[in-house]
Amino acid sequence: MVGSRRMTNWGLNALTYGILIIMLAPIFWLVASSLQTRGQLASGRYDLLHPTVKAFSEMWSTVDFSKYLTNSIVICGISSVLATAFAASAGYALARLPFRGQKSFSAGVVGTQLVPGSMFLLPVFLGFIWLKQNTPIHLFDTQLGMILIYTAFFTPVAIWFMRYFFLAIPPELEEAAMVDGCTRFGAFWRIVLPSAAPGLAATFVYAFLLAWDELLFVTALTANRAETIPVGIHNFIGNYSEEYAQLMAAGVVSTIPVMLAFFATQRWLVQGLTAGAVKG
Amino acid sequence: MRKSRITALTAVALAMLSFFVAACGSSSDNGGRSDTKTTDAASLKGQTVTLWIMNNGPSPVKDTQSLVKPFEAQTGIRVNVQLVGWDVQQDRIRDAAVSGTGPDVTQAGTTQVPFFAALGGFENVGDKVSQIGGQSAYAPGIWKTSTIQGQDGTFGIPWFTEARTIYYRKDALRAAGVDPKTAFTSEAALEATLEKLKSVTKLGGESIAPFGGPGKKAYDLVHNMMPWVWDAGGAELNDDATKSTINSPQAVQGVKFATDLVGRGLWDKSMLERDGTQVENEFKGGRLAVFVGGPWVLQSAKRPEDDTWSSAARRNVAVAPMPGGTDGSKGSTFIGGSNLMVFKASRHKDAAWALIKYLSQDRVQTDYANLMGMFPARLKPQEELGSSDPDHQAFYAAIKDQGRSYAPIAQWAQVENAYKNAFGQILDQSAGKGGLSDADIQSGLDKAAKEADGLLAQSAG
Repeated sequence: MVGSRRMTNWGLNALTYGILIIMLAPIFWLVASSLQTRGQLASGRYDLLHPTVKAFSEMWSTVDFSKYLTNSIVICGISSVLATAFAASAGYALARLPFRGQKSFSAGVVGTQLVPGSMFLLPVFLGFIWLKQNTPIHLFDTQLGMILIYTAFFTPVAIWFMRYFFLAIPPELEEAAMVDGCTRFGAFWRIVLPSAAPGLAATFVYAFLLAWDELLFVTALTANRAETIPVGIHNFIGNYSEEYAQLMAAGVVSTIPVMLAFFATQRWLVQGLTAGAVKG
Repeated sequence: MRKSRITALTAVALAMLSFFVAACGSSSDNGGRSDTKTTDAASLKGQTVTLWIMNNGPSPVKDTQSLVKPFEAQTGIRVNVQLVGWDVQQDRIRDAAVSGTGPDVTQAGTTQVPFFAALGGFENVGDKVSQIGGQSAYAPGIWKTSTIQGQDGTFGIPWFTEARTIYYRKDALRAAGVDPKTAFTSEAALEATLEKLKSVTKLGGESIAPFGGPGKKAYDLVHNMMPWVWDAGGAELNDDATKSTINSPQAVQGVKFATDLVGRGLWDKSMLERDGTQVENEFKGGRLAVFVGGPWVLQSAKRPEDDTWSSAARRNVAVAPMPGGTDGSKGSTFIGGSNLMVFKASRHKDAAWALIKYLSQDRVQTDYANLMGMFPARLKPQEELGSSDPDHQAFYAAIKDQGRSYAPIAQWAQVENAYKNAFGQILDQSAGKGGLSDADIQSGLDKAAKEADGLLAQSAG
């Protein structure tokens, strides 16, 4: 009986490690490839014992990768902060402040997620071009334009996230604060928001990851100045030459901010996701 | 998968916009000449011209910036060189043309120029061509790529040229007992050479196959296949470019030449799963004895830092013009490259033209071609580069005597895509079945011709 249980545990452990290896293999392959030369990648003969960081030093001059990286950090960072801030306000209202039309508003928020993003592309593109041609407001191919778009697109789902996080916080906490003299906003700012920190972190990281990988809108709404990594990384592949080692190095570099965002907020993220999952 | 879906969605959405704007704009643009007035150089000082280029070589922006430095010093015009990836350049240039929010000058592939020009967002520079020596300074086939068939006007200035030739390993031919002088003179000679190369299975420490070419993954599959079709007397379209002729008996025979190479084991089947650069790397790595490539391959052999070359392949690489046709004709090759186009919405048209004039100087053309491993677009520097060594001589001969491109029509990119899909499928089937019958090829090409006719009819209507 004990032997059978031990066998089961051993089998489950083996399965876990097997899945882990499968999950990590592409990342290992990405890093290993970034440390090889063009010739080694072309022939498929990797020399893992003699890695080279040449691709990491060359990738910045082959294409203007620092521009794409800066654009990605600025656009994704600011739009995620804004989406989280708007979502915190709206989510709190939905969770705590009954108002007329609340159900319709909630349905509307969810409804925006049911329409494919590509349906918005043409109107947004035409709008940006019209603004550029007829007003001093330049949104096409600017960081500001992309920040507005990403904020608008990621706020609805973030509102839904935050609503659940606020529902998980006992209303007695803010009631007690208001009894002690806080205004509603004061209670929200001093008591509720700090308690919802894990939810804010989870929402921010979620929005950041979505924005970091977004390709459709950034391809259509930028020309050269505001391109982000998903567009810029293709420039390592040309019609007449392909810099696979540099492409892999750029892949490694572009995962660093995402990993930093994840690990910096990991504790809150897990806590936040769990909190949001059990209360509705 | 995700990327292709996203690209498709973007294309569908923005194509609607392109056609709408193009339709609206066409009435006022009929054959109109540029209304730009010539401005003296002093008034252009301090202006900034934004130039879009694609990744044409290992350091595209740096190389182009160094190329235009003397121009900036001479004129006081600043050139802002911006890189646009080949992946997105079609969308970027189209959007910029229809929205009027682009740079001043852009590089465009030679086969794309008619499509972009038909959008109505580019200057007709026909009245300025005399300032750069007129069209006689260019080979007719190359000049044709700056026009739209059936319309007046010049919408681009050829910048650099590329052509495809045979690359082979001298040591492989020696081991097979083949004389390089006669090895590739005709398609029959090519077949015989490859048959003999079958006996050479290992060279320079590497297993080696006689020949390889990419399949469906190559962006330029049509450029690789059409020379066989042209050699057999076929063509991509009829003379007035209103109907596809890709399913003609001659075209079928041309394609059959390629599928027979696959069927007989002369064309390494595994290469059909690779793209053009990957096949090129197989040759450079010493695993192919013969392949068809562009001039940039030749230049890369001279760069010691390019470690995709095996030492044996680098030492023994040589070039020959494409084989002649079965009827004793000279043979054909695709000539392409890129042209420079000025946007109508540019606010610095005179400075933009000044830049094009500078880039059209013979010396500058030669310098850029050397940097990128391409051929200049103008006849005189082409000839000079062609006489520099026997390998470049072979390229020059290919450009001069065998070079051919497609009809300059706005719908070509879509037609080419239909042909590319058909060629890719036919080559795959050939690899699976060990060769194809005429009927199999005819059936595949009939489908491509039907699709192409539909595309041509749509735009005619």
